[in-house]
Amino acid sequence: MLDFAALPTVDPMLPRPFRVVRVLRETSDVTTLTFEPADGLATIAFGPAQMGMVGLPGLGEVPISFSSDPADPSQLAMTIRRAGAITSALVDLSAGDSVSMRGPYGTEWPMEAAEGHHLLIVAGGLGLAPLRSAIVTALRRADRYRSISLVYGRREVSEVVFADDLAAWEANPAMSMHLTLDRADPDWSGPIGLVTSRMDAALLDPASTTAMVCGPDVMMHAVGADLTQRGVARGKIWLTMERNMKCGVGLCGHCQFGPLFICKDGPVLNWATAGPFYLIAEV
Amino acid sequence: MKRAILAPTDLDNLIAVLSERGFEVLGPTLDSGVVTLSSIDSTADLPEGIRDEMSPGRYYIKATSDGELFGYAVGPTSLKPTLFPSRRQVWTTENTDQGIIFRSSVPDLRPVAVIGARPCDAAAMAVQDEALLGGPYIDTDYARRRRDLFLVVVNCTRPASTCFCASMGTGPAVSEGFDIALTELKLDTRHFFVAESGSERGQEVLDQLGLDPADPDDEELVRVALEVAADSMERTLDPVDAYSVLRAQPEHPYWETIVERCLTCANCTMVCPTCFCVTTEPVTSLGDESAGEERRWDSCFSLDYSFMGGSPVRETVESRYRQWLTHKLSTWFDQFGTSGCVGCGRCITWCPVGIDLTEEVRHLREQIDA
Ligand SMILES: Cc1cc2nc3c(=O)[nH]c(=O)nc-3n(C[C@H](O)[C@H](O)[C@H](O)COP(=O)(O)OP(=O)(O)OC[C@H]3O[C@@H](n4cnc5c(N)ncnc54)[C@H](O)[C@@H]3O)c2cc1C
Ligand code: SF4
Ligand code: FES
Repeated sequence: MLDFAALPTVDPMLPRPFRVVRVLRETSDVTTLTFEPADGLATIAFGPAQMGMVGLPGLGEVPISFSSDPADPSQLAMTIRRAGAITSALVDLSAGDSVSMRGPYGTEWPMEAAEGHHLLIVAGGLGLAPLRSAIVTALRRADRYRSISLVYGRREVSEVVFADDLAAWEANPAMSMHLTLDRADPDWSGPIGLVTSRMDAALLDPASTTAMVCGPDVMMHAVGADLTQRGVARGKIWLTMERNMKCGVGLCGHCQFGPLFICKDGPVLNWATAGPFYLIAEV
Repeated sequence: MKRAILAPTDLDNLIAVLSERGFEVLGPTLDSGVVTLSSIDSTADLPEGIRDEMSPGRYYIKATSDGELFGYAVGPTSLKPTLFPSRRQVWTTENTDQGIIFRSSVPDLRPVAVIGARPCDAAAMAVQDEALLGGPYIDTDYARRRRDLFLVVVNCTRPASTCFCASMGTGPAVSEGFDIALTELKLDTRHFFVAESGSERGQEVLDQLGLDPADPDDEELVRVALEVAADSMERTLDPVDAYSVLRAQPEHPYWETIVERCLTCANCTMVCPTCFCVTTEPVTSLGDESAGEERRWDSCFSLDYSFMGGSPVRETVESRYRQWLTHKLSTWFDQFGTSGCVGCGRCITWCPVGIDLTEEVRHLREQIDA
């Protein structure tokens, strides 16, 4: 028998009001917004790779990863790219504007399980957003990892997000950086090629590596297959996935990927769990 | 639990007792040529003598003069629209001096009693309970409606040709999740119901009706009627085999054959008593500048459903049909521990081109084995 008295009564679909306190235009299409709660209650504390449903009343809400340092919830931020109506309106917000917010939802990067390993972080484009929280978390306790490497691939030089962070990470001896551009560009003197072309240099010891990967589906598929072939255990290759999400809490059905709900079983999943479904077209 | 005998006039008393207890009583009624669920005041509102005849893509109503009150199987309306409305307001905003406030839209609801739900409807409700109340997050609107529901199930003595609950283990007799279960028996000389309670309040209500106990002969009549009903079912589905068939070969060329038939109209998902997919829609009110959010039933057959990064993940017809069938019969087990199908056959009846999932599973099994 169901014990109705024991069930929660607060609707998980009810958002809270948050206010934009800072706007950082990363590129013409990407903005990092920093938020504070506008209801006088505590802000959202999240773990690396968790997401929130952020929206504008009357327009709708979308899933976006928190991109700030999880250790400092007072700087709660999201880095958003203009895709369609809702993200465009979010990207164009100014300090003082209000948004609706729910979260945090979903699984986190396995920061602790990865301790004692080489940490290989692979980002494609804006895939760096949900990885930024992993990087800052790892750097704070860099001695717990055998090494920390970032492989970051972009399509255009102008696509660069987190420019200040990238500069700081370049200068940080704990961090080994492998930047690449998909195709040649007069403004770029670094390596050309997909992220997989940097693995020879970035992957130190497959047997003791934990990889954290985020980018477009095709890129994650390629990296998952490549790292597996190079000897990284499927269960140690972690991805964060995107799927259409209307609720974020396992109640709307939209985010299904095979038997998985990306909003609650993911977005962070390992290649052993998610890999088999990547092989099925239109799953 | 002790069984009691309920005469058709006692059924009127049952309706009256439930209304007195504050319930809005819903029951099967004949409306625009289908048996559906609406408010009833007495047994006079029930579709007396009505039969429903169904086959893939077909539904007919036939009138008889035999006076049976529940002599049909299932119309398109399950308990789903009552417990999980097709459209509901989720929240609205209010602009205050302190800024914007979000308020849950919690409607005033009168508790509902349903008389004449089918065993498969009760089974479907249990499936939705798991999906919507299993947590960690729950559908609080469903929880309220569900908590307040008083459920009188009427067992099936006349399954339709599209029913396959016996093979799914969900009917034609209800086993749990009800307050009162009735079996209607219409003999040459007697018309009565054998009643059984499934909850404390169900027993309380039966006690209030002051019924005579059923004698062993009547109980035997019920047993036989339900056994005959189970044996008469033409269709079967083996839920455990379906689980593995659909898991086995998602890219089998068989799926492409569905393209020639499936219209992606989403009818199957709308009449399915367990489908719970929804989407959200913003609403704005020009008058007071408030905004809100509505939730409405969605379907994995729509292109918007899987829209991501400029295009749908599931663009082809076969990928959308495969998603529906695989979720219903296979991944549902992985997610919630049971099949997502209860064997009510509604998707077979209401599919405009008569696609029959029991046949699809059989064909797929044959192709894989070949
Ligand atoms: C777990 C997760 C984390 C994400 N993190 C970020 C992030 O950090 N930064 C960022 O810029 N974007 C992120 N996205 C993608 C972002 O949600 C989409 O860009 C956004 O939904 C597009 O909405 P739109 O209305 O502006 O675009 P449109 O293209 O008009 O989309 C219409 C609708 O389709 C759906 N949709 C479209 N694209 C996506 C998508 N990629 N993922 C999910 N739903 C989609 C949404 O419901 C959207 O409202 C994330 C998505 C997920 C699932
Ligand atoms: S599927 Fe079973 S329980 Fe449902 S209407 Fe048919 S016979 Fe009755
Ligand atoms: S986003 Fe609604 S179920 Fe996952």
